[in-house]
Amino acid sequence: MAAEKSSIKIITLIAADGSVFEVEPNIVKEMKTVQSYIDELDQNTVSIPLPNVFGNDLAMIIEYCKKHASEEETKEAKEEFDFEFVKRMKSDDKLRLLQAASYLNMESFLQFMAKAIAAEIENQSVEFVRDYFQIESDFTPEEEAELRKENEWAFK
Amino acid sequence: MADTISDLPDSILCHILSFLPTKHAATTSILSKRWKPLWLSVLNLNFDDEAFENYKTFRKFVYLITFSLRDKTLPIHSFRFKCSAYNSFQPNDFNPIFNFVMQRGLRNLNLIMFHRIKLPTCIFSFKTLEELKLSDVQIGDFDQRFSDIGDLDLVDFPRVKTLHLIRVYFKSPKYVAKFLLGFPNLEDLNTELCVSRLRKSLLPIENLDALPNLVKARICDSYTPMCLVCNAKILHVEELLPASWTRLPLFNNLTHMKLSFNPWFCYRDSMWLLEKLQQIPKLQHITIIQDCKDADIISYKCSEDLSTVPECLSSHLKTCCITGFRGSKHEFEFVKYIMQHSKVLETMTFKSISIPKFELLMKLSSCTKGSATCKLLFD
Repeated sequence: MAAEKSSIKIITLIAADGSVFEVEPNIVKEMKTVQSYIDELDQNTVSIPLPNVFGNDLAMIIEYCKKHASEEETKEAKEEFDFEFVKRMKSDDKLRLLQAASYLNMESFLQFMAKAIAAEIENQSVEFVRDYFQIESDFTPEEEAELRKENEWAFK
Repeated sequence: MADTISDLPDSILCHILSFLPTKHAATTSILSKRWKPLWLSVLNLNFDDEAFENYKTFRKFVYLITFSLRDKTLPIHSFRFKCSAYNSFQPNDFNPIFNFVMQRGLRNLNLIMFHRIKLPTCIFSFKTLEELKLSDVQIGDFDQRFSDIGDLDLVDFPRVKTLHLIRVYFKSPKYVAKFLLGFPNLEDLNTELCVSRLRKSLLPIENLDALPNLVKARICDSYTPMCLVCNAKILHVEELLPASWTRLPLFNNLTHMKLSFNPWFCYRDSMWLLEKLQQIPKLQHITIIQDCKDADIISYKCSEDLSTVPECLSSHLKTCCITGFRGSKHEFEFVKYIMQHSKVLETMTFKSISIPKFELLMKLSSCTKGSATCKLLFD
């Protein structure tokens, strides 16, 4: 089994919009959803459709994986990369990438995105956070007022 | 395809909340009915006294969350406790909290305290912990217990990989090593230690076992014994006793070294840097940061006294970077020696030089290069 796995040279990922990415096996290790799919097959070439991830997002995820899979890069260089990576993203991108990370079951990338999103909502008002996550409150105004009073300490 | 955050499982929403200070996470309870209970199942607690009106409300909040609101059987993976804004901190106020938290499978502990608060003794043996970060605490009771019992096994952190000690006070230098040896699996060490009784026991500690798994160390004090950290691959030294420098142990794994010579470091006029490179045979990257106003406080050992070229120069050194190059005779001798004898050097970089660039280039133009591909870079 191990020999069969190692014989796979290139993995083709097909995004929701049909764009195609060819990557080396070590790049997809972090994507557990993809990896378990590969593990079940015994072919030399693998083509995997990812209907829940857009091409732009997949390109970013692959870029991240390449940097982090590299053994030549120092931890500092990776941290610097992460910093720049987050800086060029919009809020929507982060939420979409978080969803993609969840779908692909990518532990460290998911953690990275969760942290980036937490940084956006930290110290923001309840209204901002609702808007950010597109949450419709299902509390009546009375219920909300009651809750605010109950947890008064949190809103000071 | 998932189009809003509402399609994500609760576990991922909790993951986002785990990066927020607990007080802020609590405000998400009124976002919607789904969010209401989420923050209480987060496995990280992060308390910061600065977000509270006064010490009393802070204390009340910490107790309310830990003992009343949160399910007491839930694990706590990470506990960050910052109490540095108010003078009135009493360790006894929080000992029940610390004792409780420690029994919940804690992995990360980060305490940021007010100047020289004594640590509760209960934390010195901690089997589940993986990361320990302490700021502004005093390791005092530990000291006492040592002299009473003399049992080194008291300090026991078998799983800790990351240890950061920032402005941590020890009563005596000899406890520093004893404390650090309680972390056999340490990979990342960052120390800025202070020792109150300094003069009595300045003797360098010798024949200590090195921390076997250490990868990265940043030393910014005079008390962390160098022999403890000699397995590191990456080392950043900002302050060191001349005695520790003189008896530098062999660093067999070290590939990246950064030396910051700041006014605190520069209390001796001979750093014998080239000679010390003999102790670092695998060094690939060296960065020297000079932040000394007085010229020639550091002098680099001149070449003629070196009987053999350090091994790192003849086979490993790829980059050398000097920040704050002043153009003194010794600095030039050092740079020339490096350039002459480094066979695989790729770049020699100068940052913030205080002499004209052409003067530097002129002086180095006569220097024969050991590596034909070595580039001079300015930044």
